[in-house]
Amino acid sequence: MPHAIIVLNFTDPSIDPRGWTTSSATESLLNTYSTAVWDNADVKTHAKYWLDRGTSINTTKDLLLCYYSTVNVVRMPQKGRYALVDQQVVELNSQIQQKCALARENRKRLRVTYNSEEFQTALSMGFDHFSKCLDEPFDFIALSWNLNPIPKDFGGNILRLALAIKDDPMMGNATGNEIFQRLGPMVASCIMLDFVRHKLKGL
Amino acid sequence: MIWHYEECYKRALKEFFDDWWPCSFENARGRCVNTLRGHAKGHQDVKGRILASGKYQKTVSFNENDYTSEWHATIESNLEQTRERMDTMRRGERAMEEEAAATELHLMRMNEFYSRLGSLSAYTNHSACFSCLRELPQHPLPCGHVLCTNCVRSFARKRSDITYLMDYCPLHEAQRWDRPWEIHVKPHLAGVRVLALDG
Repeated sequence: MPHAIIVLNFTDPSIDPRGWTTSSATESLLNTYSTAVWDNADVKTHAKYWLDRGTSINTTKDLLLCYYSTVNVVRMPQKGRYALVDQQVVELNSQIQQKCALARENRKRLRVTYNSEEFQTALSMGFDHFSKCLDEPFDFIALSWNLNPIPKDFGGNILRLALAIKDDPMMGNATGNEIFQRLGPMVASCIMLDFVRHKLKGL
Repeated sequence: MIWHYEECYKRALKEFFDDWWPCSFENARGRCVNTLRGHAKGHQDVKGRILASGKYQKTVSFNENDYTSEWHATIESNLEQTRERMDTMRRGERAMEEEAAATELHLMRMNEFYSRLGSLSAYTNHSACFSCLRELPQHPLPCGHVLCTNCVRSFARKRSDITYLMDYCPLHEAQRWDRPWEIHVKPHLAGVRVLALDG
């Protein structure tokens, strides 16, 4: 999920000097509006949506975290305090950098960092998808299979056959057990055939 | 012999669980379609709508813990049966060669297997030979199925070193073709030749 950075413009420069740090600005804004989630009718519908789906929503922060990985607030002063403006711009910049690094780390962990070649494939699949249907979500799993296809070995081919059964419309809703129960004799026979063809030794 | 292949068929099952088998969660809003590896956002339906939050829910009796050993046992017992039948065939009147016996048995098994599935056209694949599950398919047949060279050699009549005649598709032997299908294969020791025409 995306990271959110809220810039509070036009802050009164006379506030407590500690209020300029991102951590305290974030805390104070979220605390001030912590119960807003149940006061505002529009927001309430969103909160209720998540509550119905089993996520506990007590504060505004809980709701925001359903849509964003992190939420941070950076204050910008009213005109006149140039040194302070500069300091806050540096802070905003560093926040953006940090979140980018975090996102990159996370993508790395989930093994979805693309190189230029893969990114091209990802983009073109994205365009293909959204030019056909705007409302349906993009299938990242399909993309990852496109980039790292099922291996063309015996194991990969068993998987291909299992998937063909799973996707066969005439097989209706075959359960997993049924699919593999049917595959068993076929796979065993393929093993025997391969074993004999390659004249492997042993029993 | 089974250990040669054990890693392969167990990996196929594991990947099926991890990447292809949907979560079993269901509520009034719909069914979760996310797989184990794609479940970071909770339960979602096919349109991406959130059904509920929560982790991937395994299918009862069909999950990695419960089914892997059963899968292994299924393969093992079927392999044992095949071996016994092959031995009988080799000791019988026809005293068949090992490969001929295995091929004949495979043809039988394969036909049993495909005839019990739905539409045969759903089992057309261009990256796997759906007859032996081992080689790259290279020879398309009139029915749409594609076979590898080894399977062509096994199931077709040899006309010359490089031509084979096929009377049926081994995936559905019962449907014989009116006219044999001719298949050309590359001679055993020939390399790939490329004819380039450019000016």
